[in-house]
Amino acid sequence: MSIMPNVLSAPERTARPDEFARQSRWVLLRRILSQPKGVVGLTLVTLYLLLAIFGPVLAPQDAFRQNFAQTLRPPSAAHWFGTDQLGRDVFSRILVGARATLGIGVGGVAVAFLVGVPLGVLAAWRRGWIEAAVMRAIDVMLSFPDIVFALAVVAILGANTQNVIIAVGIVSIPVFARTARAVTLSILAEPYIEGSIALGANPVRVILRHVLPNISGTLLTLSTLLFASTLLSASGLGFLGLGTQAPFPEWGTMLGESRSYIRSHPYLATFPGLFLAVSALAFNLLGDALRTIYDPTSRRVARRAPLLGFLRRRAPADPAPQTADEATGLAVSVRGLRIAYRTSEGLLEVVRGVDLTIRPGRTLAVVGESGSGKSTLLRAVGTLVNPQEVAITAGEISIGGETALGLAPAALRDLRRRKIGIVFQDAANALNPVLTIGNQLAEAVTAGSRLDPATVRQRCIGLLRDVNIADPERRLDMYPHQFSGGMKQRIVIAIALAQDPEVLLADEPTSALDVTIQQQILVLLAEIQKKRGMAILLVTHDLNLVARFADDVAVMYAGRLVESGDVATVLERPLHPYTQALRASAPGGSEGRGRHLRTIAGEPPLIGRLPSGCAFRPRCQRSANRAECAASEPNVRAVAGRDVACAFAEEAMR
Amino acid sequence: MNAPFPLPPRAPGTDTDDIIVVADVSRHFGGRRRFLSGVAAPVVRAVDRVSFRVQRGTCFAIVGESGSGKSSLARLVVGLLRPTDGEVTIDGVPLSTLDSAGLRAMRRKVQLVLQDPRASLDPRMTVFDTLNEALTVHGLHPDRTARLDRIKSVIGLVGLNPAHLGRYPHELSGGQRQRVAIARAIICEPEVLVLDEPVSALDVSVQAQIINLLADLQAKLGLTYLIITHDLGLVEHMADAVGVMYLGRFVEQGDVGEVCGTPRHPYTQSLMAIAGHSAPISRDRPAPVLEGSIPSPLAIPPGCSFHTRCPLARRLAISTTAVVETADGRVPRPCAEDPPPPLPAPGGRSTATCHFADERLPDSDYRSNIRN
Repeated sequence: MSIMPNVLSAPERTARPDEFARQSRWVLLRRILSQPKGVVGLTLVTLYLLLAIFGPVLAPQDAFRQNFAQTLRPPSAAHWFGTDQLGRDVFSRILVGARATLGIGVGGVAVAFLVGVPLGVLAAWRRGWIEAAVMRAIDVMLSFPDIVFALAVVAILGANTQNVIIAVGIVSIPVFARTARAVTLSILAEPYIEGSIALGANPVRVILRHVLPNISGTLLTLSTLLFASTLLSASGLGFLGLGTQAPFPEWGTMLGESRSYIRSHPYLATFPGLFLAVSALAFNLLGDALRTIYDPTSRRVARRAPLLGFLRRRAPADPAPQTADEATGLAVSVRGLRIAYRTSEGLLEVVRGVDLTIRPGRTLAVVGESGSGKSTLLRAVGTLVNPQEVAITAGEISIGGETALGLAPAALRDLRRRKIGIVFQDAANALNPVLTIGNQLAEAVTAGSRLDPATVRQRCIGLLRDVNIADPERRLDMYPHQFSGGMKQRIVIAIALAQDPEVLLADEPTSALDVTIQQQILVLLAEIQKKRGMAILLVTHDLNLVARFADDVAVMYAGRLVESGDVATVLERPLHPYTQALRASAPGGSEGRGRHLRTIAGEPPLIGRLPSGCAFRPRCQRSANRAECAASEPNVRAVAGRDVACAFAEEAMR
Repeated sequence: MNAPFPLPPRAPGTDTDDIIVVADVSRHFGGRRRFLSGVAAPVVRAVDRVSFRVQRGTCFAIVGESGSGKSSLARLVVGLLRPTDGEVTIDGVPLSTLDSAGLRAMRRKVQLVLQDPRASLDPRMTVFDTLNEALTVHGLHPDRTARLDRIKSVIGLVGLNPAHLGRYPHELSGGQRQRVAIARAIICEPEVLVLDEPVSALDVSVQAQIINLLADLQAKLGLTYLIITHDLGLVEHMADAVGVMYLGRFVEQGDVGEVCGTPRHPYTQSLMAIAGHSAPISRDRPAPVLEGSIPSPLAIPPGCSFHTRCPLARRLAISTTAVVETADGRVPRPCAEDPPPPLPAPGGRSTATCHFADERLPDSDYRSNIRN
């Protein structure tokens, strides 16, 4: 049995045996401080909290003492931030007002959070009339301007700081409830929620353990954003005389009072405004840092396109080699192709030296598992790789005798349009939902040429007939959602055929479809190929599909073609141990019932973590620690009618 | 319409140790008026009068295309959905007699393993948290050391090691994630595992590992499997009995050897012809093709729901006299008008729901005529 844990496949992290114990608070602090935004945010928030606690003690002067001899003075040594219209020291007022201001911001957000989030989660969880009632109520609240609503609340409850908190909190409830409902709905649709319910967890547990942690990031960010807008609402109330009552200072109220003097004495608004803005920023930064910590998936290394990456693009290749392919009449010719992803850790090679050719009218299937580089290879042949993300570091690609590397964007588009048709796996996403089928077909038909509408329509109808869609005249005016998955894939194929390409590239064209539909599409493709004589490059993981559909097969492993040749030759008697194992590991047939399947130990290697020598070595039974396998990557050589990259390929023939 | 759909008779020579009994179960969605708008949602008959039983320690497979209702049926068995009609009995306890707390307790016995392990594990929980939760939910092993021992033994059982316990799902490979999902399912010592496409999201070379692991666990722990899949190869390899589902109904069910070896329903015959087809779709010899696609469950065809695509009906329409003209061609009258009764096979080991289950078609009729 080969279910032994494999050391190679997953990145082995430094062993932390106690890691599954709950994280302590200090760990959280360390994680915050490990991010620049966390350091800045936490420092600022701490300063503000200290200010809120010790502000009144630190104030150098009496914040309430009016001095009509010194009104509206600019900043000076005596009054650092100047004095206001009543001659009070602005600096002292800011220090004293910190407590009320932050109290309103934090309190308002807390009120909104504590009421809004449970409402939103409840609405998402229960659906039905509860959801309808909650959402209608929220719509009503949202139809009033914030300030009017807050005014009404304060007018009813009376004007003081506590009621301002309640008022600005209530104003923010709809935002929290709506957001909480939306994110909860999307989390509830995740299979792990169903998994947990199937486990037998009760609703409270599901919400506390699975929903809340997963929506906390969004809600944290929202809280920090609303912190700023809550302060603004509060200052609006203050301006109208309904906020914190004079003479008690509060930054929003101070900002409101200074509006009358904004032209003559701008510094009066500057300092309270600055403190408000920086406080909003501080909470935002801290919220962002927390979100990064609580979302373990966000810590993955982001792939970064290098700045000025286009400068590094390959210089145009010599136009010389194209004559050779034209002579042999190859539809696709790839030589020595190497492709690497640009990552923050440098270039990561995913295609490591691939040679392949396809003659017109033939189908080549590239078989491989996820991460083998097969899709990248197909995109490179389709001239679809983004040079910002992917670098073609060596090799040549030519399509129908024309080189496809080093072309200017316009020439590349032209080549792609004339010679290449592409069918991707997910037909649902390949079609634009707001355009009719006719529009999308017409766009493909008219690309690069001027045709009158009647001709275009005739061509579109012809294309739909080619892909066996009945009643094409009526179907042209329908939208993608009116078609089934199999029909959509037919339409995608029709679009790919619009310019009569020499090469059709198909990336898992049927793996999203049901077996009966899959067979229909394959038969259709075979039929079209017979009629038009185009070459097909098919990428798949399904060996049975290869056997049915392809003429030639190339088995890809860790960025290289390890065995390639005629389908009958390769699949009937595979020589590479990987091909052999793939062949043997498929379940099926009543003769093997209940018996153990032959497995390949371990899992496909990760890009950039390949072992030395032959990449398949750690999973290979033939290798068995032989020195040759570890020493160097085996060369591709011709053995028994196919090309194979294994130093001991002949052993399979005994 | 109301012909009784009795439980399939027990195969001769088996005892009565049925752990899952699904008796004439239906599940319809929609039909209720929406709050404040008053418009009734259309009725979808996701599962329609399905009956089957699964013997303890065996493996039952439900096969069907997307939209056939196979996933709804699985959720009815787990108790995540309540049937509109009929009764699911697990280990002698009818699920309808349980309240929601009882149902949650019952879930300890019946665990669900979902298709995509990347999505079915909470991204914010380590492997340890995930396994620990399962024990917490059912109050098992309250003692800390006993709990840790149990978690460690289960993680070993699925072929991982304690070093994996501290990892998050995104730090594991696809195969390792599916092992964790299986570990979560077996940690509470269930009797039944419902496996929803257990390997289809995995790489080919990893699929075989998981299939072998499931076989080992079944033998070691005496588990009963209910597998939901579209992969007939997997069915033939793992299952003892199978139900073939089309538009919410079993069109054919019974012993795997019978159903897959000598299918009697034209739909099963088509599926088997396609699955068994590994010869090249050569350009001169036509390949087996089932035309059309599965109709919308909102508008299930009358009579036999398969008649819109049925190759046998097309063929019989040529030779029989009682024929009706439908939008999808000429078919025998019973196919378009009467729901077919379940017809047991001569040996009694399988049942096909087809008016003409005993008419055989020459092989060539499953091959399309490639239009030129």
